[in-house]
Amino acid sequence: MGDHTEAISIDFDPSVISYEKLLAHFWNGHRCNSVNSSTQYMNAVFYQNDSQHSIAKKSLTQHITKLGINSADVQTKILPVRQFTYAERYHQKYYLRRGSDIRSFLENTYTDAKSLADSTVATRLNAYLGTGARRNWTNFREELPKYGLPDNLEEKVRKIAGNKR
Amino acid sequence: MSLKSIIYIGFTGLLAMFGAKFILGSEDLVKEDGKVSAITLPLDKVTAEVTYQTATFGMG
Repeated sequence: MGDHTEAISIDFDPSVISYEKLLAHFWNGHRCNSVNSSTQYMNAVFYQNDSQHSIAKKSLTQHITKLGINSADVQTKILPVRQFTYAERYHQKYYLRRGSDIRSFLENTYTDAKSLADSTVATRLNAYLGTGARRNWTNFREELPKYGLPDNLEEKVRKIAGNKR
Repeated sequence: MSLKSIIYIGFTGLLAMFGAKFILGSEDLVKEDGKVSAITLPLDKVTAEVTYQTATFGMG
């Protein structure tokens, strides 16, 4: 891996969710003062521009103030983003590995790692069918016809979603 | 450890690496270019038109 860090890249619509909210999820999802010396698996915010840099710093300050963490103990880095390289296709949309026919359809539709990773349909299916926890299943059922799945797969997904609240 | 063992272990390791590459298939890694490339499915076509921002996190 050299000096690479494994990271996730989230394309988001700022009119739906803010960068601040994503940061709040990030801070709440790990302990920013836990020591981790690995470059490959470090906790970090990789900012895209000055605005994200400033928001990330402010967000960290608020988070550690709330938790009473000393700033000197913070291990999570805030760094400028460098080139983002997509992992191989078999790493993308991991939870869909359980549903081989759905994954096969998506992999035949999007034959490279980037397009599979970029696909909103693949992302939604991965999230809903993967963990399924705390999802809005009503929205999912309403949105499903817009995905463009073949009838048999749409029916299969609808059956899975049918019992969820 | 004898020289023969070292050569044997090294050779086996190389064989395993080539085997893994053969099984998994070689794939050129793609770099982010700021464009959405998934536009085949109807919903993807719609979301590809959205002006989005990108957040990147290392998750430990």
